[in-house]
Amino acid sequence: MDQNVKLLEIRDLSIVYRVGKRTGRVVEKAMVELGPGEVLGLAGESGCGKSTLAWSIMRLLPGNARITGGSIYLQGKNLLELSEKELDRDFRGKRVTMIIQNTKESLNPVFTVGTQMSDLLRFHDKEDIPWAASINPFQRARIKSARRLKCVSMLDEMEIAAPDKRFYEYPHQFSGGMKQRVMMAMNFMVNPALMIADEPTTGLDVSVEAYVLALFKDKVRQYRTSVLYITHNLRILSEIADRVAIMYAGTIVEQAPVEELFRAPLHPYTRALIRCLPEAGSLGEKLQEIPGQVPSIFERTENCKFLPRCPCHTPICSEMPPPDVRASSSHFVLCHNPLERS
Amino acid sequence: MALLELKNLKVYYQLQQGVLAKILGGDREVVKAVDDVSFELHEGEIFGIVGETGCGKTTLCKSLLLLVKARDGKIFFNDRDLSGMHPREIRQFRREVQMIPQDPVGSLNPKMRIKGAVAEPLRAYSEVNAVEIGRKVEELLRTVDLSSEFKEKYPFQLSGGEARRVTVARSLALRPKLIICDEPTSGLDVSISAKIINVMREIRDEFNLTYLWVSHNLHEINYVSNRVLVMYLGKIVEIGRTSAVFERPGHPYTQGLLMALPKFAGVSGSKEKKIYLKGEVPSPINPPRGCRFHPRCDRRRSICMETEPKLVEVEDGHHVACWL
Repeated sequence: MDQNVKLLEIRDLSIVYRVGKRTGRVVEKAMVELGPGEVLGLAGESGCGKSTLAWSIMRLLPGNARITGGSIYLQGKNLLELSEKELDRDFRGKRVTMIIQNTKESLNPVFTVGTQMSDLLRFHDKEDIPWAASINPFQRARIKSARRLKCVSMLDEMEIAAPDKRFYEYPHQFSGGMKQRVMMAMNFMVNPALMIADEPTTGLDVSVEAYVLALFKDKVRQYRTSVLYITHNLRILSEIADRVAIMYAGTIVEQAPVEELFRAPLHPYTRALIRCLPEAGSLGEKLQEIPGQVPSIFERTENCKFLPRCPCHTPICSEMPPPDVRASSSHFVLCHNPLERS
Repeated sequence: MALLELKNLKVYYQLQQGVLAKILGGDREVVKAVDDVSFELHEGEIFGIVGETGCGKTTLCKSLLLLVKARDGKIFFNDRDLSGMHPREIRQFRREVQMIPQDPVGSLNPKMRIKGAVAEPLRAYSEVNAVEIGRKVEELLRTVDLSSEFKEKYPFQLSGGEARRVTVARSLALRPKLIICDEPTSGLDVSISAKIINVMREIRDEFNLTYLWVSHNLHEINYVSNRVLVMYLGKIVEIGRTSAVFERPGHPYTQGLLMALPKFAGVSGSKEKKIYLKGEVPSPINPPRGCRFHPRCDRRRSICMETEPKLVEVEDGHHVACWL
């Protein structure tokens, strides 16, 4: 990939949380690169810092979080150096949008879906209209109906039945899968350069999940949106992602094109994660489990964080931090003893 | 011999009725949560139940424990009919059948230490003295791989996987024959659910248990169970040996569910065109006439909309409720 065409580039990003008098390392030296139109899957167990990384791109971290180093470049601009005003004007909700984990709470229950969608459009072309009060009523009505049409066509694109009726309904009249599709509609309507999807299908049934995912995949291709897809479900990633980054205890331990990662994982943790999944036809065999627990944010050291649970550690692992090994131009792993490629 | 046998079990929930509707009379609306379900459970097997949200999986489990009253139908446990049982016998029955609830943290009393929670069934059936109980609690925690320091902890100090193992330990306390597991791995990370599955299989071998394993994770069901039951809107749509159902699904709904599963790109290689289940589960208050699945089925015929299909045996022990 050419240096210039990178859309998102996160370099050595470190984030700490202050809890009482202690500080915990949540994200450490994360490196993420994302090209236009690419879908990067970010996977890891709960508490590994996936969501923190996502929120840091939006610069919406909680008050006790502090970014201690690194940079986040989006389209050549360092988001960490921008003021709040600049962020609001150009980035949040515009060039970067987010589908959050909990759909139930992301739509306001007291406004119709249509109102919420057109509000989004109104917010976006506020700058185009010189002074709102100076528009005559006819013009205003025309703008309003144009917005409505756009929203309805977007709902239609998301395969919501009877979109012109649904436009006037409230979120509680929508099912979980439909709410998620409304959220997707709102995200695609803005046509962002980067979309962050934080576990958008948790809590949906398998059949609905498969359907929503297929639709999402379609739209991403159609709009050529770059997506940072966060999930703990590796199977989903194998379906929709182009590349996958595996995160463990705040560091990205392996990053590779999706097929390569699942076929020939190099980091022991990635291999362990894949082996944890129950597969068909292995009845009677014991599932591989990962012994021990993820180290708490206060116990993390410079060295490999997977060390206490790793089956193939050597003395060097506890002496110095793991090197960044590049297996190929697109596959890198953070490990002293990467697994043999099969 | 069947350990548990269900015959035409029906569980209906009556809906709240408004005052006006009460005065005017009229039928109360009912939700047919479990409608005409019959199956047998053999000793020592792991029997999986799958289905989407709201298909009646949890209601079925509760009715087996007599926690909800069945409208109609019979449940036999060890060839004894539960409906005609004396309360004292039911108490005896309840020690032989235990349930692992869906929400482990919610099922533990937040003010009770873990040792108290695990000892509760032992105390309720007061068979051993306090010293014995303490010893037994430790033993139970050890079987689920928890060290004895957990005894003094409170539920909020536990992680999801640990809380789940505590509920497993508690369900084992009375040495039951059958354990009903209601989504034992929901909400857990893959590595932790692998741990739970392993623990549960170990104790099954150790205590010679039978599991009724409810889940909506088909990968998991395929992995753990011997036989599987697919439910849709309170009805059985397919039942059979797991390998048969997963390899040769007979019902379009089962086929759709299996199709919906994300596959490993690296493993399966090809990315074939998928058929999706369109739409959502209809309301169980007014289920569609005829086959309940027909509005979402892509191969429906006129007969599907008229008459409800019966379970038909397609191969040995594999039954499908479909006209096709």
